[in-house]
Amino acid sequence: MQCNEFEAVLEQTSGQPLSAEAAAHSAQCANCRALAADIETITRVARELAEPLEEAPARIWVQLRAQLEAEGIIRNPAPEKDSSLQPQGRLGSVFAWMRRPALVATYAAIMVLAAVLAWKRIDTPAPPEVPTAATYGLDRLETQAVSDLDSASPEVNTALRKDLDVVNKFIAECEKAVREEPQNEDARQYLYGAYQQKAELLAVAMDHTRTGE
Amino acid sequence: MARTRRTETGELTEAEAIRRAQQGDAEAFEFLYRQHSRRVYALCLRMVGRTAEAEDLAQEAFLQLFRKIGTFRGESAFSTWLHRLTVNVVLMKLRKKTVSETSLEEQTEPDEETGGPRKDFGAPDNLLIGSVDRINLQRAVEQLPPGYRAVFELHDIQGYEHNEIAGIMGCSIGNSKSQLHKARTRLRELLHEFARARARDVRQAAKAETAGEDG
Repeated sequence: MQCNEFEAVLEQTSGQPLSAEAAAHSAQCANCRALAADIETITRVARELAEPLEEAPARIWVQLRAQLEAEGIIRNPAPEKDSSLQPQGRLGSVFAWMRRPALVATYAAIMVLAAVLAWKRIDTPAPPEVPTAATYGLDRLETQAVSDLDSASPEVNTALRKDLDVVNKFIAECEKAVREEPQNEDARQYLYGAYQQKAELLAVAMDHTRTGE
Repeated sequence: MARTRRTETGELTEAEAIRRAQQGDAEAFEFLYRQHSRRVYALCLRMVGRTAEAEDLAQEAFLQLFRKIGTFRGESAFSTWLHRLTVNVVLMKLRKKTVSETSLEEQTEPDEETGGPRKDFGAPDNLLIGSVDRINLQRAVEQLPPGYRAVFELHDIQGYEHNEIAGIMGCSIGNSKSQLHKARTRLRELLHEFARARARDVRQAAKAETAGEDG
């Protein structure tokens, strides 16, 4: 057996015991023996690189779902008694309510907040302190929106709470990332984006509950 | 159409979720995402190394998958289809980064005496054993061309078999084996190069120390 044939055997057997012929060649050829030993070392250390699979960050699904809905790929069937759950928009089925006409003062205030947050995402250099949902009054607004939800239909209530839960998990992850790396601009951008999403969602919720639909 | 109410594993089969997702059911999409997101994300993260990029790539892979889900007919396993898409998305990204596909000679430090590429990796007294750890192997993996890196990642790190990789990469089993072998031999070269660089640094440091003492 020649060295190139030995290498071909190594390529095909990939970690399995060598044939007698290949083993005989390896015994007399220091270069091929070293090649086999090095590859064994590499594969052994490579196995150490495998790490337990960590949970994919929540924001992936949040953004993916928003995109799927925007493209009309997600087409949830409308419940019989609530045609407002037609597919469209971002942040879940509640986005359809954005088309409702009544815009109350709170809604407008929240939209201003959303715009401020959007502006911060683009233009503001990272401040040294870590922002929180409370910084922008989102916690208070959420409390109000959630209490108002009791007047909504069970379908709407469930859908909205689910979307809020998703966004809150997203925010918690972003806040954690910013706390861990306060100077990481990407992390801050994600966080402002998350707050913006929540502000929009709360605006949608309030719009819906105040119009009584 | 019946709505998919529950998304916990075991309460809905993958086949049923695919059928419902083909009809646009949001919870079916979520079920499929939850079933596969860990592995897809892990693959992206290992391939690109940066969390933010890995998230974008995982999202893109799922997006492409869900856009095409209406065409899925079950000829191959759903997971194979998804992983093929994921690998393609990652490879596209890596190739855009213009990873230099330098030749073996270019990757190899010139021999001090001949000026040509040094190819005596296999000298019995120059084995990698004992000089390779996770950190420098990871560093070497990051320098592999994308195609080699994908096969090495799937086989030697994540534990896929060659027939699975062939399905994922859209190639033959023989091709998968060949790519893996080339990846390993390229890694071997890189790791030997690292070891030589370390030895050179030690020599230079010793020289500098000696010169300092003489001066």
